[in-house]
Order: sequence, then structure tokens, then C-alpha cells
Amino acid sequence: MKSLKYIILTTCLLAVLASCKKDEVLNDVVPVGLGGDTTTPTAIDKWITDSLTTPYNIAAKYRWDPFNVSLFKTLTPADESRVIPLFSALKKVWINPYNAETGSELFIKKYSPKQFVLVGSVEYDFYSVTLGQAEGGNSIVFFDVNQNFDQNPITSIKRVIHTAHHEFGHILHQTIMYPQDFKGISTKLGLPGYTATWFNVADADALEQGYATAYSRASPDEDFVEMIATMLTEGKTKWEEMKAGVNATARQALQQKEDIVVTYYRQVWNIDFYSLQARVQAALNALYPPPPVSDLYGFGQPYTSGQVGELTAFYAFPPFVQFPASPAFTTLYNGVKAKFATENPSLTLRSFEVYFNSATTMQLYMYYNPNNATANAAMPSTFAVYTYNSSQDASGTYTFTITSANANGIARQASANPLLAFFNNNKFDVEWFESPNVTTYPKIKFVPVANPDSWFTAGLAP
Amino acid sequence: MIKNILILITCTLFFASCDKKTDEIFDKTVDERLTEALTNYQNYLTAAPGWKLFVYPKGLESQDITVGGLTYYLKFTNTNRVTMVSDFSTDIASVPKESGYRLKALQRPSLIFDTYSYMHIPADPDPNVSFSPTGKGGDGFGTDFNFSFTEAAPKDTIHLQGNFNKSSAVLIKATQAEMDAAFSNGRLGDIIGITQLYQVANPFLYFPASPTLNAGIGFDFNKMLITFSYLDAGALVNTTIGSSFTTYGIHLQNPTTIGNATFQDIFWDDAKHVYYIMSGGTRVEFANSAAPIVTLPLTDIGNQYTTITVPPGANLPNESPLFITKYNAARVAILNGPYALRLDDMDFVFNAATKTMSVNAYVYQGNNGFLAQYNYTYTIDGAGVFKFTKATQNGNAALIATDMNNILGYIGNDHFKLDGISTSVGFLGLFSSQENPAFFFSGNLY
Repeated sequence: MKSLKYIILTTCLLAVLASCKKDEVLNDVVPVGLGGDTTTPTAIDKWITDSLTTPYNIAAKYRWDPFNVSLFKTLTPADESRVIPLFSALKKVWINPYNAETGSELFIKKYSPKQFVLVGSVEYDFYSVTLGQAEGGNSIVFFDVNQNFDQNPITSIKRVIHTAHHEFGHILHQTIMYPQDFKGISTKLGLPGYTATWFNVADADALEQGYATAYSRASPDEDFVEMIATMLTEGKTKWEEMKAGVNATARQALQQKEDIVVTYYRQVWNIDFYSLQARVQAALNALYPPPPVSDLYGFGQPYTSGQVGELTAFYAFPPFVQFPASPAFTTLYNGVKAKFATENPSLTLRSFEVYFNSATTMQLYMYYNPNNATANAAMPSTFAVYTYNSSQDASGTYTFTITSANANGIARQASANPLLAFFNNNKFDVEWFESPNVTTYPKIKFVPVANPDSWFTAGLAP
Repeated sequence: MIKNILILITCTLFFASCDKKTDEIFDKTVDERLTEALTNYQNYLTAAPGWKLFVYPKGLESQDITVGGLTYYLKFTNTNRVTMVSDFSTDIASVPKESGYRLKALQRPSLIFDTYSYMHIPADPDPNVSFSPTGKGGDGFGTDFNFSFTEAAPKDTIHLQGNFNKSSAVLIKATQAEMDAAFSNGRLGDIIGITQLYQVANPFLYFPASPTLNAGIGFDFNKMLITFSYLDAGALVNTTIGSSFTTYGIHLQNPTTIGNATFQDIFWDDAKHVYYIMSGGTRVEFANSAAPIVTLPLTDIGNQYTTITVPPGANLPNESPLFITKYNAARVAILNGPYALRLDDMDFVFNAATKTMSVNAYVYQGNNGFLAQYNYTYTIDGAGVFKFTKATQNGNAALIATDMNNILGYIGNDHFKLDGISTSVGFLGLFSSQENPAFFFSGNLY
């Protein structure tokens, strides 16, 4: 009886199994679009494959795909002519510096975001526009690739690079966290803390509160990566200027944050942050070299004056701006200052400027005031003016020949003479000392052709 | 026990006996049919000579803005490349541009213009690129560059629907002559230029729609609309329809019937320098009238229409030389005055309930706008003649009152007739002085 039961059960099972006779042919048509769209490769596709996808496993989408972006916003695709320049710049200013610093491509291969998406226009919101966006450090969307919203190629590409360094920063700290101390820096110093309404803060105000940008105020993570992105994209000089220009508490916060970022890069990733910063800046400057000095400085140009010293009667540099000069020139200038001081009554020589007042003349303005503490704290009120004939040869070298002086000039001539003679009948090469690419306060360097060791620098003033 | 076992076996056999076969409605699977549709469309599109595409944007309808049509002439290749010209502006009408396209299975088989092309200029959210009628960012013209095919199989006329703004669009197979005209001869750009001059040269354009009915014709090139105006039993009829330029003239969104004439295309005759339509095989030419075709007394202004706007420069048709002289005198005096103000729109805003009318003159100092407002009361006599009486003015108005008096002196002193008139730039409001027949001017009617 028991075996009969098993036999019946077995029969049933066999019947059940036999009943499942599934000999239907499975659908052998691959679903349309599985594995992504295919299009005939163009030169741009080949460039992306060779330069980004094969070496770094990065996909770069420039063809419109409605599902990569907001489904509710009016946007446009990228113009093809912008694609290679943008990715090429990104490679030079983001990937290559990391490769050079770590000594191999492995670092980027391992940690880079895996997809870039290009959008031609910006995304308009109620009160603002979106210029870059990222999803979990994996896919980054760059807007305004067609550069209609921001037509300046340098600020436009800097924003792209800022976004890339920002998102890459996220990947780094999500892999190995930065020290907890970072999160408390601002509040410990009594500065405003992190806020969800960061967008109500202007960048300049955020800086005064000890944050690199307004977006830094969103959260400690954003603060950390904005520090990285800002320092790398703006470069050492501009970053130092940003720190120098704010109140002491904010400066302290920015410095402490900078120190943590630098230590984090060294200890966690064995990368010298300042060296990386220098490489990023070198790449950026190679990509967008500064214009020739003569395009910015001279009669009829944006800047007509080269100023040495913080204050003149007409223009003030922030106190932290320095005007370096060679020892030979410093000796000469200090000698002139000393002569002003020994005049009766004693005078303080505050500054001078090389001002192009016409296409063929240059005026040397020397600013001074009575030698006392009150006068020395204010803008100098008195100036001596010496007029030179000015000419430029084919290679841009200036020759100055003195022709006249105003009444103050004649009165101060004896004291001023070493400086007047320095300019008179001398040839000068004028070159960038710090170009507008690296600083908010561009400086030029006057180099006497006959005596190159006597150079001095001047800040450009309108 | 045995009974239970037998029931079990029976049940098992019952289920085992089920024949698992699905009846398909279609003889092919979804993916097979989708692939087939995409392939068919691809082959059809890439066939010579090429296509013309008419797009009628719908994205601004939610903001109560109607815009008309856009024309593109397209050459597709089988390597995902497309070359086009567009009627959106004269410069892009004559210089072909190459960009990318692909067919993709979205909710429906779709045609995506996937890298920046002329199709994306009116779609650009940047108002400095698209010159969007909304004047702000994020809108463009509400057009599309990503379309669904609405029919399963391709034909020589392919209907499309925009996937984003739901614009309607239609692809029509072009002739070789049309493609040559568009790509080699710059004909599309020529037609745009010709039509713009034609509009200026013929202020009271009309065509005989029937032996007893002349229909006024107005072009709105900014919104790509054409309006036919006529009176039907004394009531004004304005038929406005989306239009766009072609190599042969103008194409309308839909077949349109005015009087006895039904037509969808308007043709340009190079030799006679006129536009004409073909109505049932008969050629009907457009002509210019000496006076407005439709004149409608605006005694009920303040209800349907509330505002007559004289645009900066007062360059509309039917401005009298005397008015232009007075207008320019006021404009120049304000500009050279102590505040250096640039006169922009001048609005005459009516309120029928309170019988008041305000003249709102918008003046600009650099980029800063100010409103100078002059308030009037008015009466209408039995003959429909208006008499305005000045009541008050605001502070800005007082500062330029002497200059503005060049124009406003007439408004305050004279009696005026107000009429709606049909012109080649659209339906306008016309002020005519009764005491000084040489003083009349028109403005846009809102």
C-alpha cells in the first residue's frame, strides 16, 4: 500500500512535469535601443572614444537624450563645434594634472565620474539659472556649452573645470572621509553655520563668512569640495588675494579649511595639493594665454596707468597688494624717498605711476604729502608731474624722453632726479608680472633693456 | 484514500492538459514591429531629394501666446546627419547647417534632432537667442526638436507631434526644384526679405474673397501669423492662422476658407511682384487698397479692446505726416531735455465703465524706465465722436508735459473718431481728429 502511494505520487509528478512542455521559441528580437542608441560615429565620437572612453572609461554624451536632463525644462543640445574644445580643456586642466601628480592614469581611472552630459543652454529656474549639476558623483551635466549665457571663454571654461573638480572632490571624500574637525571650523569661530538657504547668500558675502563660495554654505561636504574646486580653479595667487581681502575671522576659517584640505590630500592620497594647484593653473594658462600687455595697458586701453604703491590721489589698491622690485631699483627708490624726507619741510613720497596720457606722451606722477602720521594715513594729496615723450619700437620696447614738468615737479626735481634719470632716454621692455589670468590685480614688470637687474613692478589702474 | 488519490490524479491530468498557446493580435512582436517602423521611416527620410518640415509650436499656449509656423528644408543621410535651412531668420535661411539626428524608440518611434541646429534656435531658452515672445528666459517659442511619428507607416506626408511641447508638425516630401531653391539659390531668405518689403509697400493689402467680399491681410512676422479681416453682417471677423515661409511663398497651417476661396499656400510671382492664391484652379491676386479694407468704429473701446499702443518711432502704417512731425518734435525735445529721456511705447488705455482714458508714456533714462501718465475723462456723442478732457497727471508727466503737448494738445482740444482698421501689419486702432483732418495716427490694438 505504501509503495502504491509512492508510485501514484511519482506518476502525478511526472504528469505535472510532462505537462510543462514549453517549446515556444523565445523572442529572439533584441529590444529596440537595448544597450543604448547607436549612431554612425563621427570625428567627434572617435575623439571621445580615443581620448576619454578607452583610456578612462568615461562616457561623454553630447547628443540630446531627453532622459539625461530635466523633463520639464526648456533646454537645447550642445553645438557640435563646442564639444571637442570643451572635453579637450577638461582633460588638460582636470585629468592631466592628477595623472602628472600621481604618476599614472590609475587614479583617475579608478575614481573619476563615469559620465559627462553636455547641454547647450542654461536651465532657467524661477530666480536663477543652473550651470552645472551632478548625480551622486557618477554623472555630471554641463550646461551652457554653447556659451550664449556666458560668452567669455575663460569664465565659461573655468565653470566647467570648477564643476569637474567639485564632483571629483565628492568622490574622493566619499571614498575616504575628511577629518571631522572640518565640519566645526566655521561655528567654532563664531561664523554663520551651514544652511539650506545658501542661495540667498552672495559669493562675496559667503567669503566674508569664511566660505569659499555661497554653495559652500550648503553643507560641510559641499564646503569641502568647494574649497578644493575654488583653490584649484582660481589658483594660488587669486586664492591668497581672496583670503587677504576678508575680515580676520573669516580669513582664519578659510586658512584652517585650506590646511585640512592640503593635509587630507597628502595623507590620504599622497598628493601635494599645491603642486596639483600649480599644474592646474599652468594648464589653464597654456589653454588661455594672457593677452599681450599692450592689449590692456597703454593709451586708449582698459588700463592707462601702471601704479607703484598702494595709494595715489586717484586710485587705491587693497593693502595686501605688493609691488615687488629688484634690489637695485629698491635702492634707487629708497634713495629718492630719503631725499623727499630730508626736504624742508619734510615730505613722504607715497607712490608713483607711469600714466599714458596720449599716444605719444607718458606722464610720471609722483605722489607725496607732508611727513606726519595723519597725512600718511590718508590718500596722498599732492603730486609732481613729469612729462616724457614716449615711443614704441616694432618689438614693443618703450623709449621715454623727458620734456617738461609742472610747478610741483620743478620744485621736487632735485629730490626726484634719480627716478627721472632712470626713465629718461632709457628703453624699457614691459611684460606681465602677474597677468589677469592669475590675479584680480594684474601687474606688469618694467625691465630697463640696458640694465635688466633694475626692474620694478606696477599694478594696473584704469 | 484511493478516492482522494484518484481525484488528485484527475486534477493533475486536467491541468496538464492545458494547451499553453497565446493568440497574438499582430503577427509580429512589439520589438519586431518597432524595429520595422524605425527602419521604414529611416529609409523613407533618407531618400532623395529631401523634405520640408512645418512646425507649429504649442509650448506657449499655457501663457496665452499663440505663435504660428516654422519651415525647415531638410536633407537626411543614412549616417545620422541632417542638413537644413530655416525661415526663422534671414541669415539662417540661406546658409545650410549640418547637425545630428537619430530615430529612437521612445513612447512612440521618434525623430530627434540631437545636436544644435537651426531647429534649436527658436527652442533656445535664452531669450537673446530665440527672441522669445514672452521676453523672459526658459521659454523660447515653445517649439520642439524631438518628435513622435503619429502613424505606423511612412508616407509622402508624415505627421509628427512634439514630445516636449506637443507642437504639431508635418513632414512633406519636397521636389528637387524646391531643394535646389532652398540649398543652392538662397530662395528662402529672398522670400523673407521680399515679403517684409511687400508688407511695408502695401499698407492696406487685400484680396477679393468673393465678388462682394474683400478680405484685409495682415502679417505678424514676429509670431509667424497671418490674419484675414473682413466684416460679416457688420461684425468684425479676424481669422488668424499660423504661417511660415517657403521657397515659393507662404504656407498656412491649415486649409483656410475666406469667402469663396479655400487655400493653404500663397505664391509669390517674381515677374508681377505680387502674392496670389489658387482658389479652385483660379488665380486670385493680392492687391493694395488706398484705404483700409475694414473700418470698424471703436465706440465700445474699453471692453473688448482697452489699449491703443503707439510703438517707439511710430512707424505703423496710416500715421499722418502731421502726426509724425508732432511725434518727432515731442520725442526729440524729451531726448534733448534736462533728463535725456528716450520715448518708448505710448499707450492710450481706456476704461469704458468710468469713461476715463490714460495716456501712459514710457520713457527711459539709460536702462531705467519711468512712466509719465496723463489722465483724461471722455464723452461720446451720438455720432460716435470722442471728446477728451484732461483731468490729472503724475509727477513724471509734469516734467515732460510741455514737450508731450506737441501730441497731447490735439488730444485735449480736438474731437476724435476712433476706428479699428485692417492693415498689412495687423488690426490697428486709429485716432482721427475731426477739427484737423491732417492729424490722425494708429497704434496696435490690445
